[in-house]
Amino acid sequence: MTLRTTLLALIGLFGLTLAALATGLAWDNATTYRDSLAQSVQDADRRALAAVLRALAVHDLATAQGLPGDPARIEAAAATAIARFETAQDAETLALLRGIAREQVRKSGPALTPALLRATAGAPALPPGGRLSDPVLLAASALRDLCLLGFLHLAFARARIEARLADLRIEDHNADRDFILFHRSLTAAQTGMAATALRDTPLLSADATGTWAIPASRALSQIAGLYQPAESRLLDSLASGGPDTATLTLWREVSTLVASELAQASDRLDTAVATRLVRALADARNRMVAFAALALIAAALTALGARLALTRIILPHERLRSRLDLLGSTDHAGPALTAPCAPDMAALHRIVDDLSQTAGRRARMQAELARLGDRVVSDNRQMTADLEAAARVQRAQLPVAPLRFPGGMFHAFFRPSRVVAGDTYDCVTLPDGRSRIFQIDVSGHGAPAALVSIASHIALKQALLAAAPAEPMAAIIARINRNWAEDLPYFTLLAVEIDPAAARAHIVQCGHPPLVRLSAAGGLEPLGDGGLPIGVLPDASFTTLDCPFRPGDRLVLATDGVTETADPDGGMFGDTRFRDILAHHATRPVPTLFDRLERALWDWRGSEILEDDITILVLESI
Amino acid sequence: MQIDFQITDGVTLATPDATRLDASTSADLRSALTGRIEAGAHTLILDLSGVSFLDSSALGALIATAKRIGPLGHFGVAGTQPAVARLFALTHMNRVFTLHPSTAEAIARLTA
Repeated sequence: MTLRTTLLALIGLFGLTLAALATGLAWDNATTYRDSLAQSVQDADRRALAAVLRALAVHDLATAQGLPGDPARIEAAAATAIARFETAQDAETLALLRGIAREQVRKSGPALTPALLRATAGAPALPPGGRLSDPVLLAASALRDLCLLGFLHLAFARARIEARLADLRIEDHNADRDFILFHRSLTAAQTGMAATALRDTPLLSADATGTWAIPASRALSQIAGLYQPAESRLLDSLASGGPDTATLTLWREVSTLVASELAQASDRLDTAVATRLVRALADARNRMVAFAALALIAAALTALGARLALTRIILPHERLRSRLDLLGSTDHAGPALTAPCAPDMAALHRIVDDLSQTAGRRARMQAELARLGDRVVSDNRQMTADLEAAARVQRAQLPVAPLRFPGGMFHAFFRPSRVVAGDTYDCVTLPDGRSRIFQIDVSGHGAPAALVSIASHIALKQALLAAAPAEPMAAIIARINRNWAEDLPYFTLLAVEIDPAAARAHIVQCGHPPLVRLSAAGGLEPLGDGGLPIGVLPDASFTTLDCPFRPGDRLVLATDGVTETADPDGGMFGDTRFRDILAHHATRPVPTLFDRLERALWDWRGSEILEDDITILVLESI
Repeated sequence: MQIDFQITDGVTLATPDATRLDASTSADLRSALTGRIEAGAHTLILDLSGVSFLDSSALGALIATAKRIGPLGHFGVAGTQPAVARLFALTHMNRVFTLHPSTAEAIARLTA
């Protein structure tokens, strides 16, 4: 994985995480905002209701005191409340408020519209999730509601007592009893709630609402501390016949004071709660917007990363893979390449094609060469083995020299130029004591010449041994020549018959170099003027030469390989040099003669590699 | 080795450009000469004036050529140098093909 891929992956991962986080926060703040909004609506509703209740209470009090009320104001406040009144924060408090309102409405009589009755009838359900999560707001709101409740309670109680004072008669005892029961329980509840609210007051001290929490708490505590004793004294005074002025005045002042403080505390808390609500709403909205923006940015970042990864890594990778698949397939004619990568891919395509073709050709060539090489090695080994076998056959034909024959000694110097030779020779002795020596040189070299050499050797040897004793050697050779297959290579032949009884040699020369006679007296004499080789003309006849073969005489038979041995410049060794050496070493032992000849030939040749077979036979008369 | 063939009055004159006719050239010599005979030449003269050495293999090619042309045709050599002449004498090649002193004399004699 490249660095770029890693970076892109990290950016994408970071963007995703950030987007998720910001989205979560934005969602949370959206929820808060929704709750705040709902709470604001609820609070507005509560304030509207409170206004209605307070108007009712004031109206009630005024009526009780014989003062003129203000039904129009009450109607207007009620209409607002009805229009917006849907929910309340606290079901218990709402029920209490609604009970007070219902009582007030009942007392107010037909002056109030049935619409207000409808508004105060039944307990509306709290909306789910509508509860404020801000504990300060909750505490302040609760304190405010308590203050309102205390005010209403006080106004209600005061209106009832004022009404009694006005006519000084309690007509409805049951009603009085109900009122006193309700009044006392309400006072007890109020006291309990005040204690709870006071317990929550420290919570409010950290906030602007706290400024108003302490006066509110004090005002609430004044219900039990100031108003309740004054009311008890007034009620006692009423029960004992008539209230004294001081008691009545004190009750009125105290109730006015406490009610006024409660109203003020309620109003201030109302404002504080509203302010805090507005602020919370604004904060929630701002946070929501900020986090939403962050979520958008993060999402954009992620999208960018994903797009980069797609365009820079995944898509090129896919394209490359598909192209490689295409190249790898046998069908190289793929679909048209896209413009940007077409030239590159085409070039790559050509290279791969070339490589595969070259590789295929090279592999085939190497396989072929290896096969040929194996074949050559194997064939060569076989051929060499065949030739060596042929050479063994050929060598086996040759007599082991030196060889004693009646009247003489047979010496041979034989140097084939190759494994098999075209030269061959033999020495056979007839039952009557005559010996026949022949030397054959088949034209050409190598295996064909060697095969003909072997064949001619056999034919000649058999003929020379099996012929009638009286048949001249020339006649035997003529017969062989006649029977020699026309399409076989010809060969030259020099045949010598030694007649020890007569101390003479009979020579038949068939295309062969002349026989050289080294006489014991010291002379050197080439014998014969040639003759047709065997296998050239079927009807050829051959002449016979005679020469003495007395002790000390030597007859030398040589193939043309001796005189035709060439030096590096192509110059022939020649008859002259050959005969000079023969003459010079005429009386030396034959092996010494051979040694001198060999050295002279090698010196001339400059190499031990011969072009032609060399055979020198020496018949030494004893 | 290249062999130049010229036809004069029905006589095909073959002139090899080699100075040595041996085992390395005998196969070519043989196929070139017998190829001419196959192609219809019945009077063939081999100019050996430039050949200083001729071995038994080349001699075999000449013998084969003589045999191929048969008794009704004519095969001769001309302008032999001493060494080649000695070989022909040694092997009695005058009985196998005709030895002419020179190509001019050969053509003159054959077209007479």
